[in-house]
Amino acid sequence: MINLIGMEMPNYPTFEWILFGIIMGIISIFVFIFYIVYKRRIIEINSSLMVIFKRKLKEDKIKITIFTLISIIPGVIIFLIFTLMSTLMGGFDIIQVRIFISYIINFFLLYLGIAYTIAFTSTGIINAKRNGTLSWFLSKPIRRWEFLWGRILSYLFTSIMISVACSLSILIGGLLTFDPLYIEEILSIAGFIFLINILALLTLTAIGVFLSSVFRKTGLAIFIPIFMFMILPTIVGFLPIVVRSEWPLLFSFSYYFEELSSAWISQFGGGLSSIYLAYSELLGIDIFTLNLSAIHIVLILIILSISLFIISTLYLQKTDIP
Amino acid sequence: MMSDPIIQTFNLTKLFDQKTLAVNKLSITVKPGIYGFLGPNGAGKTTTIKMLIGSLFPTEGRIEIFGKDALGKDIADIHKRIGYVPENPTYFMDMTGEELLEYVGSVFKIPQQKLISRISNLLRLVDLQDAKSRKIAKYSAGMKQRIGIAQALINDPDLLILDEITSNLDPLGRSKMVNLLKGLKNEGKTIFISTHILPEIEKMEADSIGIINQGQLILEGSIKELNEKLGTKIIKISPKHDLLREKLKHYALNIGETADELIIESDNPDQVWKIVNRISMENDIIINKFISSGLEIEQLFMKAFDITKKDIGVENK
Repeated sequence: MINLIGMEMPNYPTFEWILFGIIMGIISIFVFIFYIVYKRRIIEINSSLMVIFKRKLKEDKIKITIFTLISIIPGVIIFLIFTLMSTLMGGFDIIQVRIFISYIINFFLLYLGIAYTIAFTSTGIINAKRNGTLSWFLSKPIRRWEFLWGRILSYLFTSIMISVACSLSILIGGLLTFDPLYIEEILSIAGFIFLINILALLTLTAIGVFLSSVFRKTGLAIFIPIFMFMILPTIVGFLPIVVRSEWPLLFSFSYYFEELSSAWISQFGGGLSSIYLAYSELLGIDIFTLNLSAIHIVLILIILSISLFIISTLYLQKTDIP
Repeated sequence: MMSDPIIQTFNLTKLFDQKTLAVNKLSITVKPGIYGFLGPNGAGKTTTIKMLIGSLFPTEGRIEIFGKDALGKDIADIHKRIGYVPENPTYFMDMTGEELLEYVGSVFKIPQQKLISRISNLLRLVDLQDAKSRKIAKYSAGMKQRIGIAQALINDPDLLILDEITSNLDPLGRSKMVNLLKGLKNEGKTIFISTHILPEIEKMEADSIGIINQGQLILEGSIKELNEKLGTKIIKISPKHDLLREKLKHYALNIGETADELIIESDNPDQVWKIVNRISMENDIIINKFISSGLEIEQLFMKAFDITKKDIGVENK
């Protein structure tokens, strides 16, 4: 495929509507079942779930609004940068656009991810345990799993809000800046960003809820995501080339999101992985041995999230609430 | 009249981290009325309450509430009939008092119309009508405890479990709380209240008490039963005469005095009366007052600890 200026273009995947459709379908089925069960009060306990869910949304409404507004930033940046670029340079290449967006999304996800985990998931259950809220709820006709899942649903709702806001901002920013010729490209990028965000936030929700259910102190529950997200990739990056191993990156979630971003948006990687590639090219050795395809990463993240949700639920069912 | 126990625990034991024994084979029986669950700080009262409400799992033992297994499938049914007020309530500070009650009502799925009238009645009961639209964060400690009582009563529970609710209150707040609880008792509710402030239990006219120390039950029963069990009486004698004090000190477990009375603690009041009678006859002392009564809760509490020290070697902290 040749682009407008005659360069060979990487073969970008078109937006994976099937994957998108499956994810949206699953979410819609959940919402539909939930709505029917809630409205008809088929199972009384599900109403308790909704009571917790609605309360958590109300409690977090300021935080949710702030995070949703922050999620618009990538779109605003893209709009401003590319408006400036087209004014100064008269135009830009879609490859540059993809790489740039990939960088922004990686950077955004890294900090938003940590902030989201700290603000919502990894401290939520611990705080409820520490300040006696959970104990108080348990004295009412509310079961432990209902409390946990009421909260998880509110976190998932927040994740959807963030993902939609981020994708919409990029879509609108892109449509305002780019030539209408690229509308399909922009739709594809916005769609993939939605998928990456939703997968990232689902995984971070699962990790945060797990840490929050297992630990009693907020310090560890906050430190672990920061370690996995920021410190671990940095440590791996600073290891001498000859002893460097990529396997610790399997525990670093920024790696997965970068890889998805690379596979779906830029194909060159956004941050860390592109540095590795630069290293390997420079030294003429192939040090980047973790070649996980996008579908592998999606599967890993979904299986990990489901497993962590199940473990958290089972753990909270059996553990003492001080 | 015999009535079915509301709460019964059987050898309830809680061991934290395989080493700290917080509750040790605790078997208590709570009948309708007010039950004072007494003990010093760290005795295991809150741990016991957390096991009753299902927040902590017992290491061993059984709990029955309303005759049902409180650790089994019936837990949700039991909780529909319970109201709980924690020691340090951290209710949703962003809510107003009225919103909190509405929220708790929705937890119990109380129909809207019924809920509105119940909220109005409860706010009147706890004297918070004027503060109903104020954020809970701005409530005083006493108001927080009172809204705590209101939220615990929203489902019209048969059993109220109160954990040290008066410890943060000023004397006026305590007095209001005592009157409130006495009123609730008269409405037929069973109140299980843990505290280390004994005069309040006395003022509440508790039907029975359980005294706990280091996780073990030391004494349990009504004040009358415990007095009979201990056999100790408090005798007030007036005038306080040095001769009486001198002679009686050999027959008293404890001897004290007020401005015009001698206070004798004795397990044999008849003998004390005989001695007082003899001395008064021989020395022409006119006895104005000789009243023998049972121990008050505070005295029972101290006595229980004395006995425990002697009999089972439990040291009071």
